[in-house]
Amino acid sequence: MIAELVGLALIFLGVFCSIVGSVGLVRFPDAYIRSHAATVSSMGGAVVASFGASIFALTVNPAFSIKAFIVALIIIFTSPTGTHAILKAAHKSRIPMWPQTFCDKLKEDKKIG
Amino acid sequence: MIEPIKTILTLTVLGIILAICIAFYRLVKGPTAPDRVIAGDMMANLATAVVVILSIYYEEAMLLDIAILLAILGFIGTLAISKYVEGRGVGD
Repeated sequence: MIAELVGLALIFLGVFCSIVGSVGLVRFPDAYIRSHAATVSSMGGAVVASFGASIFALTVNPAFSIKAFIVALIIIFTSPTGTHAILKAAHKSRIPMWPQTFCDKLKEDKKIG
Repeated sequence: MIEPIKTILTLTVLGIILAICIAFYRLVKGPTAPDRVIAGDMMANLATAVVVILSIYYEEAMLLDIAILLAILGFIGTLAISKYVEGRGVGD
């Protein structure tokens, strides 16, 4: 019973984070800042919900629990990699930034060497 | 499984589907290609979470294999489109 309650609490946290992240995805001004909201939604939403499902099934069905944990691990490893790849491509093809951006370390590094 | 837990799980699935619908607005409107790719990547991850929650709703372990497949396919799609965006100029 305790495991089911903890699992449901984690799933609710995941639903809250995913809705907050999608609202940020709509309201933020440019692609680089929107990736922040997308990360909130992937990490706080999908990973925490899958982890909660893993804990939810822990006492009833351990094999099920291990599978859900593996899903959470796959999202943990692939989501930052995909975001890094697409944003590096965006910076290389000079997608414009928000006009009030004041710091672009990658551009400074390319200028130096 | 007892009945109130099934109702709660239905509510959580509806909440994540609401988040996917809000992100779909950015996928349609997004001014540049990376916006659309980021929104699509996020939607794939949330769909994975929906499938995991549905698998504990129906008590069906086969749905978790579909969840693993969705996560990996979303990642491969993001990498492919990022290689495609990389060689192009400003805009779409």
